[in-house]
Amino acid sequence: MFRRVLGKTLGFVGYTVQYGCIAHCAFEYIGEFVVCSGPSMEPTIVNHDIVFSERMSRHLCKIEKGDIVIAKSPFDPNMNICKRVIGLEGDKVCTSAPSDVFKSHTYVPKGHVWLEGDNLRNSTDSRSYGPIPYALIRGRVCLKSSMAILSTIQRCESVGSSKQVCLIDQSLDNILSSSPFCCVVMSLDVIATTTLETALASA
Amino acid sequence: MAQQASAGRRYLRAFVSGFFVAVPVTVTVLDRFAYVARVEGASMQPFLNPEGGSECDVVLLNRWSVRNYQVQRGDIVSVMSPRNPQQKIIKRVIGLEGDFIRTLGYKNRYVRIPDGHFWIEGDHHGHSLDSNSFGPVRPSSQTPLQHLPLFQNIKISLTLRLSLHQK
Repeated sequence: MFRRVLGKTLGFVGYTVQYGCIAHCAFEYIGEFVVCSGPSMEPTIVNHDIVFSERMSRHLCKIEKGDIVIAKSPFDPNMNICKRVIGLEGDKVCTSAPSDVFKSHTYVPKGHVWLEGDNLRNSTDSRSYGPIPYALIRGRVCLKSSMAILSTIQRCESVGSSKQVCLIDQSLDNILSSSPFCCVVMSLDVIATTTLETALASA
Repeated sequence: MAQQASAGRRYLRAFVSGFFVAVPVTVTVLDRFAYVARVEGASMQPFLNPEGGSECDVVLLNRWSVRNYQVQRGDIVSVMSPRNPQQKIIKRVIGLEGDFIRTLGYKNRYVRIPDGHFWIEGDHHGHSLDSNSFGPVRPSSQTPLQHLPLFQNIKISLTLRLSLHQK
């Protein structure tokens, strides 16, 4: 009787360990779901959005300019930040505010990246703490789920000193909002782009 | 004939089930608990690689003790190089946040280590790429942060060094 209970318990523990290890491998090497909070990436990612960040491009060092990445916070290693990569190593980035008369530039040092949030007025990013090492990046955001639609995050190019933000087509939201967790086809092109005006209200 | 096919299928099933148990468990243990690495270079002489050249020390890295990113002064840690994200460097922690230290070859002679950072240096000054080149490092930049408590380090490297000499 006791031996049977012990056998069952050991079997249960073994299964738990095995599935825990499989889960760890999946979260570490494939991807994980992240809940984003804060207004620094509006309008691309709003407060309480769930995003899926994949890890393979970080392990293969394939993060590119314009990607949205999840990185460890440079202040607190237990917190994560979600920002967009503006410059890779060797790139020239503009560090002055748009309202300044004299523009200042810096070069991103080797092994570092320059991150900025899409909501420039309300974002603590590399403009305050400087470029962060590439090793702090955890993963690249590729899918976003808000309300009832799962949409893909498109990489966008920055043009000169003004930034362009990619918006998922708003009309599609109306069509697909009736069916929850509907996956938008990967071939969705950048439907609407708009320059980020300073009229974005700070939250 | 049918028996051979069923035996083959049984072997295949056993192999697959064993594979899916062994590989994730091994990967998890290597990621979370302990990791074995070989030390190359002369930046930590005479503690690591005292002979240099032919025989490289092998060290055991304890990942579990740094899951909360707590290190002490004098610990030897392995970090991801801020210059090259694919390279890991092994150095000693000299100072923690808030310490005043005197640097060797850094742009400022005296540095107060900012909050949330610490200073690492190799034992072999002058032959080491460390904080004297790239400044204070953040604990989060050691992702994963690997920690060698000194006793574990000595144990493993001594054992392997002895066995190599006996041959």
